[in-house]
Amino acid sequence: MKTTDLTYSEVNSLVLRMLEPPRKAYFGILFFLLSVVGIGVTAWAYQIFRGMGVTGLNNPVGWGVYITDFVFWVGIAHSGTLISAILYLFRARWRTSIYRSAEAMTVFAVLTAGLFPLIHLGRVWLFYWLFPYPNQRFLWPNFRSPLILDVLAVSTYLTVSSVFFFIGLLPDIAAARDQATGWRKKVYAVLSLGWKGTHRLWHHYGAAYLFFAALATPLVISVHSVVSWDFALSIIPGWHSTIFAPYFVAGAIHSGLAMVLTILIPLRKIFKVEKLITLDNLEAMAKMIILTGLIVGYAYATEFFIAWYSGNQYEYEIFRWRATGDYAAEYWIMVVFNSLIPLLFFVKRIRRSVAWLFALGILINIGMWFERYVIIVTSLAHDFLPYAWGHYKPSLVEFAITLGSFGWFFLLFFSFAKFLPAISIAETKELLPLPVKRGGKRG
Amino acid sequence: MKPVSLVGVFAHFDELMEALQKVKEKKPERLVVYSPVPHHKLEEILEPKPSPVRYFALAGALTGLFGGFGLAIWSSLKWGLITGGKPIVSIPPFIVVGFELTILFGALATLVGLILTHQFPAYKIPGTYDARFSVDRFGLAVRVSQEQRNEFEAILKSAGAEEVHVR
Amino acid sequence: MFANPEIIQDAQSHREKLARSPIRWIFLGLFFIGLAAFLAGTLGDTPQRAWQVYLVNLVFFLGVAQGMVVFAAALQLTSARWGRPIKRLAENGAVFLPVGAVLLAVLYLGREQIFPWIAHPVPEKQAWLNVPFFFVRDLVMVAILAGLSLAFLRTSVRADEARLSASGPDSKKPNSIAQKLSVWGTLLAVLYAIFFSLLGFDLIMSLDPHWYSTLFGAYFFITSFFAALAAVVVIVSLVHKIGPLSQYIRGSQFHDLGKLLFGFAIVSGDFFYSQFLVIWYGNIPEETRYVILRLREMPWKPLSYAVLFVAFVIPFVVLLSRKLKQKPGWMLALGGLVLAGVWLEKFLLVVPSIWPQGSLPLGPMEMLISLGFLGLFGAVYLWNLARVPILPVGDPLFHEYLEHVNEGSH
Repeated sequence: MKTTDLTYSEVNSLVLRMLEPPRKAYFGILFFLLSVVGIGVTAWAYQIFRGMGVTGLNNPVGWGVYITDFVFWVGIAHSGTLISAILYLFRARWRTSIYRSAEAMTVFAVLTAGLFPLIHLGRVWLFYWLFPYPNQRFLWPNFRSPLILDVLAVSTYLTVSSVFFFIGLLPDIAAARDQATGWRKKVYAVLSLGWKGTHRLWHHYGAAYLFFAALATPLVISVHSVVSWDFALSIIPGWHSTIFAPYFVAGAIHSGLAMVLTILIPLRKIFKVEKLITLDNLEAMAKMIILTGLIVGYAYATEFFIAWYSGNQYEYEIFRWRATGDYAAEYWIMVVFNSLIPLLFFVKRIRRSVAWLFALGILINIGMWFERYVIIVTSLAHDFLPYAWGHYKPSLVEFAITLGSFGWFFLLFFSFAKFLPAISIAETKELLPLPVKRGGKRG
Repeated sequence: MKPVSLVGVFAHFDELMEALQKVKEKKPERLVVYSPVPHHKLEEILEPKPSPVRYFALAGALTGLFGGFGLAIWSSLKWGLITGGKPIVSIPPFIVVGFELTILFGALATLVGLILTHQFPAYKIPGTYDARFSVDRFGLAVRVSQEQRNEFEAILKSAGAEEVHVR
Repeated sequence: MFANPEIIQDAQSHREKLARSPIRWIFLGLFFIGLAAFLAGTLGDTPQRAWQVYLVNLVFFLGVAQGMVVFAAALQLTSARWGRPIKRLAENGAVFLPVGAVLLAVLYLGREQIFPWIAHPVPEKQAWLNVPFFFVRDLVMVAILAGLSLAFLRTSVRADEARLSASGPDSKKPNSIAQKLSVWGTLLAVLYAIFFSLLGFDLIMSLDPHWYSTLFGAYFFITSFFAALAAVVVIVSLVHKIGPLSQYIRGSQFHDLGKLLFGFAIVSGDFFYSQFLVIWYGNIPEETRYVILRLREMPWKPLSYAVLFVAFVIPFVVLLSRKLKQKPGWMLALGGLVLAGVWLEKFLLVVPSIWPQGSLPLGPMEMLISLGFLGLFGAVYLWNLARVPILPVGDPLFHEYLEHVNEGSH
């Protein structure tokens, strides 16, 4: 069941078969996802109408589940760019069949994440105040603020990822156009921008693609670093820590890879593309998860050690409280699911078992969500003065909106998988032996 | 005499290369190779010069870099408000502004460069294009005068073209 | 496919050349000069000067040597083919590590000149910063890493020696050796990160016992790895023209090394900036004084600009060019520049915490002592290089790489 046993036309048919008109089950799932999104939208509408008081946010915890969701979704986006851009620069061949879905995941995750600053605003209609433009008093945003840096970073990330995603799709949309009929053919024809695979186009395209990959690589690292600085540039214990930038980037890739597993394992089964997304691809991701899990574990251990080494009573207290206080359960879920459970992937049998890969991927995502929750909420609930300590409990509205965001993300991905080629046709062909007459290779 | 377009459809890459070598020597009026995948050998023969897309990328990146710093510094100086006890022109956070805009403008400029260098989107599908060129066939299309037509047809056929069409 | 007699000869060709060349004696000579300068320094008026530059060189060379082995381990773990011809040159750095452990033990003699928490103990940190625990744990960590690195090197060399002496290919052995190397390599990479972080905290961060930065440990092992890559570049540039090696080490090796070097220049710069931005923004006096001392006050300020340019800006700009990355001459110069830059960076981290301000303690004595360390490193490195095959003939991926290159499709 090796990918390299396929012929060019088999690749086309395998992938384009995924775009066939869907069966009833598809519409059933679509309806379900729309309902979930509907729950979220209803909750949001309720919140806009009644105000932010319907959330659990208050003094001292002014940032809660919404910011957790924001960081979580931006994080998920990162491994898509890692797989498609960074592994491209490293010439890692195992990325070929999975990078298209991963890139799609990136774009959709950023679209999901981008909702949360709006949800968190309360007065959503004033969102444009975040953008750099001179208002009526010629007052510009404060470019020193990490929140504004965040707006720039995430907007840049959304734009560049979308462009990268779309450009990468062009040869494959052309392949879809050439096989399609009716209204689909017309739509693909427009979207493919008239791609004909001429030598000149491939030449310029290859150069552009390399530049996109080279630009996206530092972008990925910078975006989650900037997000981490939303916290690290404060001075409260548990947030003010220099390790946050690489720690968050590693954590983002960690949760993103887990989400790629969660998406691809059902995808390959439903669309019967196991020949393209093989166990080798999944195993390679599991190995990367070991690496990112170790980095995350290293960060946990280092922060804990330095908190002790520092001799600073506030540092000491926040780490003690995280492990033993009101949010201890969430803390231990975070530590066990993120740094210990991925170690199971050292066992070859586990990392080559689809069931284990899927299960552990879900656990890691749960763990990473709780990591953001613990970092954000505990430091706010328990900073310097005991008089200012408090507690935060998310409300039903916040749960509903979080649920809605998951529905929104999967809805976007689900629609994408049936409409655009979820596996790269052209690049998969580049992995296969070139069809030649002589030399004994298959033609 | 009106020039005529010939397109040879090849199932094998080495045959395509053989035909390409021969055809290129004859210097036809126009020469286009269609393929489902890129290949460095094609690039070496047909497009030896590096793509000008990189100039666009560089120009965009530099615009973003100076633009980013410029915007942040200029807008801070406009009102001169001290926030968080930081200097009015605070370079450390402005580095992030410059960096992000470098990437943003670099990427957008690359996109523009790709579009301009290839004058694409180009929705008109030429007669020489075949739907199989996005599956598993390679195409070598030339535009030649009527007199040369038979000569080129022979070259394509002898190299191993499955079909040769006249458009 | 295997046992190509030419390769086997090429893998041994360096031994004769090394035996005849005076280079080993030059390195040994440098070592003795450096030793003399060091002894003169410690027995003189300001032993502190000698000991502080000793520490700078210790952390620098230990980092470079260990990083080189970790680089070889990374090549193994990623099954990378491009780096096979230079693998032996990288993993040979392991032989310096036991020497490094001894040098660390020698540091014990100068501990009171270096570590302020010995003369002025910090009560809250007594459990961690006390002499016996400090030296025992650091020596144990360096010893473990040295042991693992030597095991890695030995396993790798043994694969080659089996190939050199065997009459025909043994297909079973290479796989078990590759597996062993993967295990050693994984352990090495993980323990490198953990132990070098702790070494960074101990040997450098504790010099200012009230200051701390959570990223400091990672910053230390990343910059050490960056310097190690530069060292590999320098060694490969110097060696590749010797005899038949130029057949195996080509422009593409330099190009890939250049890309890695570029990447780690960015990562090192990013790790520096992450610390700087957080400390600058929080503006907490306990944290900022460390940075202000080095970046704003004399005599350290010009040094910090020098480090910025030499270790970061210049490599960044030069390594953007595809053409320059493939030229050994340029890469040699650049590698040397990076090494100098990272050395200065270690100097800038260590010395301001020890030396009372005023003059810049960077003169002939420092240069001689540093050359002494270089001589020791070179001598030990070359001594072992003469004993092992210079090409990894026992490595199946090396042969795969050669086939791939000869196909012309690279």
